[in-house]
Amino acid sequence: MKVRDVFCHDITSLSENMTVRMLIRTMSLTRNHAVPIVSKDNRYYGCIDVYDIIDACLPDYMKGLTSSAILPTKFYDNLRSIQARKISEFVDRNYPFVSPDDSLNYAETIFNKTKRRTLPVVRKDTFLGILTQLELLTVVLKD
Amino acid sequence: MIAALTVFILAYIAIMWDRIPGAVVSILGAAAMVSIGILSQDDAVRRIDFNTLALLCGMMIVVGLLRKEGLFEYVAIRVIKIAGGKPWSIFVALCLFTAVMSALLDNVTTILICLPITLALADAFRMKPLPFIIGEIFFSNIGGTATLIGDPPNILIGSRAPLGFMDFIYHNVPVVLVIALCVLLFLRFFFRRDFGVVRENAEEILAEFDETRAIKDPPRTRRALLVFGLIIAGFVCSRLIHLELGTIALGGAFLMVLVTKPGEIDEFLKEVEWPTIFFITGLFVMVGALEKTGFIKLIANHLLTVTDDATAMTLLILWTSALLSSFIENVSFTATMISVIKSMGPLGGMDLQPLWWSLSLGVCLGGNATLIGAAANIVAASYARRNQCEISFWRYFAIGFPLMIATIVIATIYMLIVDL
Repeated sequence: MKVRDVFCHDITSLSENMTVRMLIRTMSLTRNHAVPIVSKDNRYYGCIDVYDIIDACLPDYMKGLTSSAILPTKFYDNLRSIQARKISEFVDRNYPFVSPDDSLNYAETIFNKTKRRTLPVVRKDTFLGILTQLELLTVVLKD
Repeated sequence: MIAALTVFILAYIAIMWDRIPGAVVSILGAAAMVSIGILSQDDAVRRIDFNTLALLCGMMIVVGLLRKEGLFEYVAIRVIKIAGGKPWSIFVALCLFTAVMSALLDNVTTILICLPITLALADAFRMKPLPFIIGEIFFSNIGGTATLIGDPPNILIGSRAPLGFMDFIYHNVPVVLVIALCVLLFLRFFFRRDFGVVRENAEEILAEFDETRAIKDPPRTRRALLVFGLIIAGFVCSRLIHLELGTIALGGAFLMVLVTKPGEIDEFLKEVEWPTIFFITGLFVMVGALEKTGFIKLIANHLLTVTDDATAMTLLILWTSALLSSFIENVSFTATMISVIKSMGPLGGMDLQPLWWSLSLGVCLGGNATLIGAAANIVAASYARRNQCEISFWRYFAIGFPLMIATIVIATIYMLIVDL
């Protein structure tokens, strides 16, 4: 089986000029943790995972704390402060993606190696849809 | 001698240049000393002080394990809660916590434990973090001066002098207490405006910090703490039980692994800062090569021609060590000076004890003068920068240098009263 047999042809994506606030809203509506980003000429530009936004808001010192005894009060302040900024600042241009012709085994390997749960499906700079790890596992168990 | 000196000077320049990791430079320097025939393979191995390496490795494992247990965060929150919500009392609590931690752990680890907690507190109370970070840098160096295990130069001095754990406590703790008090008063005056603002809802903010969440597995933490207590007791009684500190630390570290998570030994071995271990190993060999060529004896002779008076020599070492440690890497400087001081004994018939203490106080306190004076300072500055708190070299220097001079003046008076 190939990625093309499994992936979701939902082409919800955002333009690179949208704001972080709209990104979070889109993620909430589509219930997806990652949203592909396309450029003005509709070419695939990259992807943003909700963790990219969380990373941008979490103070660096949080990495040095070993427990949840000390809470980062600055997190929500930081989130509010970046809500009007363009998502192009946060987009991951090297976000992993798969092609429709890739095997499911390859896709699973990418999921596991990169610890991402959603992968954009892209062919020649054209965004075609998304593949989630949960979808992939469901299909494998159906077989 | 010329070849050995050339290798040593080149290595020193490369270490100060700081573009190539010190461990790489040090090991390549050591390999060069053996390759060009200054030291034989066996002689090179004999020059390595395995007691120092074992002490460093053991303490690194112990600290890593206690840190993962959440013990340090637990203690820090308890201390801050006892201090209350006033900026000045939080400042004093954090500085004293840093000093005590630094006396038991190495300075860089102390800074890496204290700074995240400090920055989180500064955020919560909307206080400027700069006074706190600078205070913690000073107190990490001051606290480290107090004990044999608090700072790598003291570990080197203690192991090679040889001086015991309690010798450091008896000699350095009194002067460290006086210095700590003076530094606190100085910082209180210097940052008086930052300590003036008190948050109204301080109690609520403090209540958000829940120390009970820090400890993941209380019985396991208690076991680890018990072993830590045994290690410290072992250090205190090391002469009585005829065990080297390295043996106690490494044995204790593995006992701690056994009573906590024996299956995760690989994880704990990752806590060892191997670059530091290799750096010091290479230094032992390079300094050993200089010793063998007679260069160290030459330096000692020259120093004795400057003065053969014990008081003058003690003060000369104290002030030279402090001033040089402000700018150069203090572990390599200490390793070299240890050999120089050792050579002075047979040459000048001098009592070496005061010289060891002057070296210890000089190199440890000298690190406070500049941002590059100690590894902990560099780590703290880079950590602060990543958290939007820039500490420039000159801004730090304006506080650090006069403060270092003041602490060395106190150390001078102390040495004159106690040792000379």
